[in-house]
Amino acid sequence: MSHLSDPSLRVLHAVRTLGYADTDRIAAKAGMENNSAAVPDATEHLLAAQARGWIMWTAFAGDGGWSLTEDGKTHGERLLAAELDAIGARSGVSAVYEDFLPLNVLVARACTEWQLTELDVSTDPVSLTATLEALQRGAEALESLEIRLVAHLNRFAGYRSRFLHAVGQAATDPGWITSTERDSAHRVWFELHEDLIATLGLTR
Amino acid sequence: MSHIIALHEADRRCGGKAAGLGALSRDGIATRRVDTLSGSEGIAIPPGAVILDASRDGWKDELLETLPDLGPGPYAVRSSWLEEDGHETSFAGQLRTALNVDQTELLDAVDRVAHSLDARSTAAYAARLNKPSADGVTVLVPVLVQQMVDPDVSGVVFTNHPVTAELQCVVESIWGLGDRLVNGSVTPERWVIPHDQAALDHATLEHGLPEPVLTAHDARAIAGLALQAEAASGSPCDMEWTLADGILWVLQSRPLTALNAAGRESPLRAPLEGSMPGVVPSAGPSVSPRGGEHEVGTLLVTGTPASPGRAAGAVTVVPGLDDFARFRTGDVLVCSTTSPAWTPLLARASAVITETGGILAHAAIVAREFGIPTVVAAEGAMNLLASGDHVTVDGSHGVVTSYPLKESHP
Repeated sequence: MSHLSDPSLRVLHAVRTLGYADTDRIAAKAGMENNSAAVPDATEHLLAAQARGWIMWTAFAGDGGWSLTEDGKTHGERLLAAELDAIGARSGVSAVYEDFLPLNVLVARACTEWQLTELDVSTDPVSLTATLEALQRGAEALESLEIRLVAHLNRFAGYRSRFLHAVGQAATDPGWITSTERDSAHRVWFELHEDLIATLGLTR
Repeated sequence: MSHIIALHEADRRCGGKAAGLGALSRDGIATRRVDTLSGSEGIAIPPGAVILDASRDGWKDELLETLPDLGPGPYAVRSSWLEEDGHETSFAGQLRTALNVDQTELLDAVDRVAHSLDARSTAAYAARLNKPSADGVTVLVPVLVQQMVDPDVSGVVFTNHPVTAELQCVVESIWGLGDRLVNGSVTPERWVIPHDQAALDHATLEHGLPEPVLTAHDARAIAGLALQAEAASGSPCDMEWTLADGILWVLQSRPLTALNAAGRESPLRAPLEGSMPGVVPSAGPSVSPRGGEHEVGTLLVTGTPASPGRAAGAVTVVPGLDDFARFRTGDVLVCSTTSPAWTPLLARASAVITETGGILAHAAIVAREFGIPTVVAAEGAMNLLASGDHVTVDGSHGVVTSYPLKESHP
């Protein structure tokens, strides 16, 4: 049975995995775009978390975003660990993480080799086709991992479709491979990696 | 015709991985008893069997008959297809491996691995075998089955430095399984042993871990083994090994090519002068003749080159999430590692230095996206560098020096 986390945890965890994001992106990530009046919306959860010193708002050159404090990271990991044990999912998620690691190498290497090729510093340039093929293999393998994760925790739903979308867009605009300004393949993957690390309380 | 070849008889038709191990075994290099390793009883290759072509009838019975020679299991089932055999790269290799396979799953695992070539590699493989590479032709790869070794320590050894190509053996090792060695989640212990001193008791610990993995003695013994393999094969080699219960097991040995090296820590080519924000003109790699002064600056810390170019700026050491406010636009970011929360800092940094990770780390990917020079696995950087230090970061060579306009550090 897929478990849906408490709204305040969903919001705090969205800040963790996104790293630095505005309220809209966090609300979307936390699955709270369409609140009923009875549910405090994402803004209220964010302000409450800020008041408790778990997150902070920073603005760089007109662009602002929420990010986690060390206290918020510790608090979030405590909640995630309690949730994971309460639903008996620790061994299942750990097993997925082990299968994720070789895939992480595959995706990171595809991104890296493409970047080095684009920077014209590669000793062994790769083609866009080969890069997309490798990312596609990552997406295929991600499918079964996501199914296994979502069986325990609802919040893992959607990584594969976002990743696939980015890979599809990259065929005509390679910026979708590693851009930090949009939901690129690497950004989605980095987020998933952070989600797994946070959920299992690991360090990078 | 036999469908199974014993590993010690493996040749080129068995694929690069099995052929490399077979040669080592025939040269007697990896099958002798040694007492050089602390507590070691010897060097060995796990006994293995190669299934040449799993599309032919009869291999299953033959493999099951061979199993007693390999051991009780569980088994490691690997494609014997090396990247230099075609276009596959080693990360894909990890996907074409089944570990801890017990007897009941063995035949299925062999079958799966045999079918693991993608279309592009199939064409390359068919061409190498002078087979017509018509579409729809299924080409199976040779599969190596070996008794699984449960490692205490895993590592690699290169007989040439994979970054500088200098004549020195580099031994990298970590506790446990070797997969984390390449995925950037850990920085391995690194010993460097110059060739001309390999015979002497001389090894330099270039990067230590809090819990030491190898002694200098162990590192030297492993380097010695690799140098013997190099002498036998006539070319520099790249060997994967594992230590289990005092035995040094050789898991893979292959020629060290630029391709192999690029898969690990690639020396990034010359810096892209002027093409990146904050890039300073190259002052050359060594000391300026003018007045004997060190115009280039003093070497402060080195690491793995991860994003090319050179940039200068003031260091800000950022230990954690609560220290982001210290960071100012244009600073050189010095930290342990990064998570998605660090992206805004990387966006405003002139250069990045991290203590951990490799060229594949997320921090390196994000830094390249921003076009800022980056050095990763810079051991001790957070202690060796202080906020306010003016430094030049050379992300093409993995070198951080004091910035020449400021007085050099003593």
